[in-house]
Amino acid sequence: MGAPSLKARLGFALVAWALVGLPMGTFRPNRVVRGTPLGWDLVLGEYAFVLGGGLLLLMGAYAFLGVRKRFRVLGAVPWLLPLVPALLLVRLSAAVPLGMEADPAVLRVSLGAGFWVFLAGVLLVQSAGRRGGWAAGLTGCGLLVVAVLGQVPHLALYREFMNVRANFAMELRRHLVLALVSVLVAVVPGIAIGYWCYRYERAKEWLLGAVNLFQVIPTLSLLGLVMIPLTILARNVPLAAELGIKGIGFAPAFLVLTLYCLLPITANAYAGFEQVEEAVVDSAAAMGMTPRQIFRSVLFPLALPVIYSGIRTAVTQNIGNTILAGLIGGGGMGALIFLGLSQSASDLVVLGTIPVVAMALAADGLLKLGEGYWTRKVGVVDDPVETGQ
Amino acid sequence: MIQLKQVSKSYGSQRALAGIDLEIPQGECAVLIGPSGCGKSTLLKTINRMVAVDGGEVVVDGKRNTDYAPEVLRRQIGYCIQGVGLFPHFTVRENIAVVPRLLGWKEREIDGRIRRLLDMSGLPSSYLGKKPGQLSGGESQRVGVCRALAADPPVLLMDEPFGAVDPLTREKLQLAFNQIQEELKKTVVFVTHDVEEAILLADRVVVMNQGRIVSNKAPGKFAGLLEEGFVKSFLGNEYPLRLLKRYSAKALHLEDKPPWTNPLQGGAGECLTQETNLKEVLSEMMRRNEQALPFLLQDNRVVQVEYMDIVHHLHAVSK
Repeated sequence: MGAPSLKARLGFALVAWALVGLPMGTFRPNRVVRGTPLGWDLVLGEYAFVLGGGLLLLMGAYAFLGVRKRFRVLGAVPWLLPLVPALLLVRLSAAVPLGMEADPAVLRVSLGAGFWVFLAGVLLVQSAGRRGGWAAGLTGCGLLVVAVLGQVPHLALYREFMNVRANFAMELRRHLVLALVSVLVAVVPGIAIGYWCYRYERAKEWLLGAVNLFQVIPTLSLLGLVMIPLTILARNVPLAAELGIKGIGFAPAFLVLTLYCLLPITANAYAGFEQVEEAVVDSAAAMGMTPRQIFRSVLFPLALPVIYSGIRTAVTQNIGNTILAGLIGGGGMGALIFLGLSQSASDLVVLGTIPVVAMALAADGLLKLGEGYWTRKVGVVDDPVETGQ
Repeated sequence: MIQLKQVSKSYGSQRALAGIDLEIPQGECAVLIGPSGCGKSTLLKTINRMVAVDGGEVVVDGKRNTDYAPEVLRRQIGYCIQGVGLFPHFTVRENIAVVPRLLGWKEREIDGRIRRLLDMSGLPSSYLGKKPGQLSGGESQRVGVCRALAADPPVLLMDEPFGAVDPLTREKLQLAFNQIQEELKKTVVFVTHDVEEAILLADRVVVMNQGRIVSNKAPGKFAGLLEEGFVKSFLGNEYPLRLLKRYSAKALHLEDKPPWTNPLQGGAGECLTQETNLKEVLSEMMRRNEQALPFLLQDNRVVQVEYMDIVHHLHAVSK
C-alpha cells in the first residue's frame, strides 16, 4: 500500500477542482443577510498564485510520480500537508471582500463547497500514503487546534459553537454515552440470539426474522412505535415513571438504538458460529466437552473475530443513528442539528455533524486496532494450508 | 468390548441402520466399509452417542452406553475424523491435551503422555508449540491420532481418518497406525471406503450396504465371499490381488523353502528380504520375468520362493 495510487490522483483532482472552480467560503456581515462568495485568490491574498500553484505542483508530483522508486522522496508529501487546511481556515476567517464593511463582532464566514472539497482531496491524498490514516488524523487535529487557540474568530462554525458552548460538551457526552451504552447493552443478547440461531434450526428463522424486522422498519417509525407503549407504561406503572421511563426523551431513544444494534451483532455472531468448521465442533463434542465447554473454549474464541467486527459495525452505525435521539428529546448532537435545521442555520447543522463524523471515524479506527489484537490473541493463524487438506 | 444389538436409526423416512448386530472383541480392529450412505459412519457414531439410536442398544465394556453421561462416555473413547477437526486456535500440545485436561490429569502427567505419543507417531517435539495451520495434512492427521489416544482410551473410533491426504502420506500413516495398534492393542472401529485400507488395517472387515451388515470376516477369509452379488461387486474381482499387500514374505515360512540353486548374478543385492510384501514379490517376478525369486534370510541362507507358493498361501488363508 506504500505507493500512492488512484486515491492520490483522485485527491489531487479534488484539490485542483476546489482551487480552480469552487468558492472557498461565504462572507456575511451578520447571521441573517445573504453572503458574498469568497474565492481562493481572495483568501490567500497577494501570494495566491504562488501558494496555490506550488501546492498543486507538489500534490500532482506525488500523485503521478510518487509511484516510482526514483521519486521516493515524494513519500513525505502527505506529511507536509497537515497544516495546510488549518492555515487555509485561519486565512478564511480573516478574509474580507473588497469594498465590504462589517462589524467585526457579528460578521461571519461560512465554509463553502471549495473548502470541503479541498479538505476531502487533502485527506484522500494523505490516506493514499504509508500510515496515511495517521497523517489524515493529524490534519483533523490541526483544524481543531487552530479553532481551540481562537485563531478563527470570524468563522461561522466558531460563532455557532460559542453560542451553544454551554450545552455542547454536555450534548457531546450524552451522544457518546447513548451511542456506546446502547451498543454495550445489545452485545450479550445479540451474541446469545446468534448462538440460539446457530444451535436451533427452528429458532433461526424466527429470531433472525424478528431482528431483521427491526432493521427494516425505518428508524424514525421505530421511534414512533416505541413511544406509544412506553407512554402507556409510564402512565400506568408509577415505578417506571419514577425511573425516568417516558414516551419521549432518553428511554425510547435508548431502546430503539439498542434494538437497532441487535441486527449487526446477532447476524455477525450467527455467521461467526456458522463459519467454525463442523469437524472442529464435532470433535469437541466427541471428545467429551459439555455444550458449555464447547462454547467457551471452541465456538466463542473461533467466532470472536467475526463477532467483534459485528460490534464494530454496530458502534459506527449507532454513533450516526444516535442523531435521531435529538428528535424526541433524547439529546446528543442531534439536538443541535435539529435546532439548526429548524432555524435554517446550516452552520449549526454542520457544527453538530462534524463531531458525529469524527466520533464514528475515531471509533472505527480504534476498534480496528483492537481487531488485530483480538485475532492474534485468539491465535487463528491465517495460513493457506488448511488443516487436514 | 463393544456389542451392538439390533441397533436401528432412521432419518425421517431414510433408514440409516436397519437392525445391526455386531460384536467387536477387545483389542481388535474392525473396519466398516461400504458405499457412501450405507450407514457406516452413523454406526460408528452410535457407539459414542454422537448419534442417538432409535432402537436396540450399544454395550461398551459390559455397560449400555446410555448408562453413561454422554460426556463421561466420550472421554473414554478416542475419536478421530476426516479433516481431523484440530482446534485451530490451540497449539499442537493443547490439542493433544484436551481430553486429559477434561479428565483432570496433572500437567506433569500430561507432559509425559504427550512426549510418548509424539514419539510413537514420529513427530518431533518441536511441533508442540505449532498451530494446526502450520502443519501439513499428514502431520495434522498424526496429531489427530495422538489427540484421540491422549487419555489412553480403551476404545478408538476413526471415521475415514486418512481420507483427505495424498496416497503416499496415507500409506505412511497406515503403517504408523499398524505399528501403534500392534503396541497398544486398542479396540478400534475404523470407517473407510477404501478396500485396500480395510485389508491393511483390519482384523475383521465389516461390509455394509443400505444399513445392513452383509459380511463380517477376517480380511483373508475371502473363500465364498466373492461369489454373490453386492460383496463381490464392492470388494471387486481383484480382491485376492489386493490382499497380497497385507502379508509379508515372512508369512510363507521361508525357512522351510528349498535353497536357491542358481548363481546370483547381482550378488546378494538381487535377493529380496522377508519384510517385502507379497504384492511387491509378485510384481518383482513380473519385472524380472521369473517364476522364482531368491530371498535372503536372517541366518544368511538364500532360499527360493516360487509363484505357486504365493498362490497356495492365499488359498490356505482364505478358508
